[in-house]
Amino acid sequence: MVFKQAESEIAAINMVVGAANSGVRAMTATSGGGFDLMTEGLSLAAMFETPLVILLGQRPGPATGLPTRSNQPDLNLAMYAGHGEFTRVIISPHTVQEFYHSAIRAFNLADILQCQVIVMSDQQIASSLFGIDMDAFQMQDTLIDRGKLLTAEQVDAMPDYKRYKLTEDGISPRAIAGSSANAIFLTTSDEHDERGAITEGAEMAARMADKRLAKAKVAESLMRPPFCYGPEEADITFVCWGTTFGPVVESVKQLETQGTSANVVCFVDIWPFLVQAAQHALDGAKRLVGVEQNKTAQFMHLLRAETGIEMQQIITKYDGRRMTPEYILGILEVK
Amino acid sequence: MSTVQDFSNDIRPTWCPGCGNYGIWNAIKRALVAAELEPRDVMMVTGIGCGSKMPNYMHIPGLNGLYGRTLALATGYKLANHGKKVITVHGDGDGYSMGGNHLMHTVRRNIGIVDIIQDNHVYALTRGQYSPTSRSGWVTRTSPEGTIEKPLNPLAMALTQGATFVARSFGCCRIGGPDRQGAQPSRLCADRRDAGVCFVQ
Repeated sequence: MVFKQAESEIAAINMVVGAANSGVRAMTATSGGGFDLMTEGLSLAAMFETPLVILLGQRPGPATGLPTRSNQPDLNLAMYAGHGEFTRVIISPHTVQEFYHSAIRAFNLADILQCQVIVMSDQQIASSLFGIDMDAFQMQDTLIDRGKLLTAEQVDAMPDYKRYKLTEDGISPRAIAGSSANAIFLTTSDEHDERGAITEGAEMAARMADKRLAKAKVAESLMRPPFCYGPEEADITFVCWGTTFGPVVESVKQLETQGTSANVVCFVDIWPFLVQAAQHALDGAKRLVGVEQNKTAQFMHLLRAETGIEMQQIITKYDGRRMTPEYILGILEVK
Repeated sequence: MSTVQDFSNDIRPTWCPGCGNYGIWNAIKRALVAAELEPRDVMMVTGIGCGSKMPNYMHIPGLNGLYGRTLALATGYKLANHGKKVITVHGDGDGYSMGGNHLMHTVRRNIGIVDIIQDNHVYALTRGQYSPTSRSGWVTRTSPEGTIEKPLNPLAMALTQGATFVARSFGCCRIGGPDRQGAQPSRLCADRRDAGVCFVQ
């Protein structure tokens, strides 16, 4: 593994784009302000169709905000960062174990989709220590899927190789430039044709835009539905995403001792959004309570926009201190 | 043995007649041939500007990235693949203005990159605004009474920050053509040892 501390986040994202174009897997990690700086590079990677993983560790903003504290204020940032329209994947693991598996999965998704995968974390989990049974991490079970990456030998047998070949699923067989005499092509931030040459053509521009967004369909097929914790039937159904899961589960346990049944629907795979899976998971819930760590309930807005499902109560916390079961139960309205 | 034709394609440059980019373009092709490199041995990384379209007009693996980010993109590529000859080609706006910070750090790190800056002292693609190397008093669209800024001295910067090779040549001659005086820069491409940053203004 090569590790490089870059001179800036702008350099960092461009370096990982450059590295990934040599055929290696590459990632960068940052938090809010650094991610702001990376957004132009995110858009570049989308145009290049370069697989990339970005870890976004959230903390309270705007600006420097509370730089050593925790929050979930950057979902909208991750969703909409970067100019132009392109496919991206956002996952937000809820436990340390899930982060381990997500790292493997994020690289596989990036390679399969030839797109950018944003893994959302937060300061709290990034700087916490957990005791985890080593059995949770089975290195030998790691599956590496590099998608449509071509070996030099495969490209040698393709005299008419086109890096950006228009395909039904939007994903083109990927040769590494210079890996073969048949793989001499340009990777450009300008709109390009199937061979990678710069084009101003109206028809080709539209077809390439279609191609970059067609990948979202494949991404959707690789997303997992939200998972449920607790009894199937409950008086209260909490909805959360990412690491807010911990204090919400604790709340469920405490409610149980008080004689109130509750369960949790937690979203780890955020985007592309699985509309039917979300509807299915929340269908029949008696009382929906959204819990997240930002002021404007960004995820609950996304959920409502995609499914029309509205929470009966939303509990938010945005003071930089972690969500706790005491806080949740203190303002939970049990009806 | 490769030939200049091996590095050529049939796309016509959009450069104006008489532009220095033609000279640089030809010189790079000749230098690559002189260095006995094949297209697949090279990665040409460029930014944004007329001259940065160069790999579009060549049969060469290329990364044509964002304005100013040429050297960061090239650094990432080189760190992951030491085996390729990495050549960056970008203008004075890309190299010194937007990319000034990357230039400073790339020179300081002194990794194996041949960095060719097409420095015409003006933003030409956007039709004539002053650049970091425009001389004081230069009248442009954005400095109708002459720029009041002092120009950057890129060679001094490259020298003081430790680039292995620092040179200035004139684009309208071929850089390093066998029949020209500026032969030194082409030898950089021939040097497969990648001894550090070879900075050519």
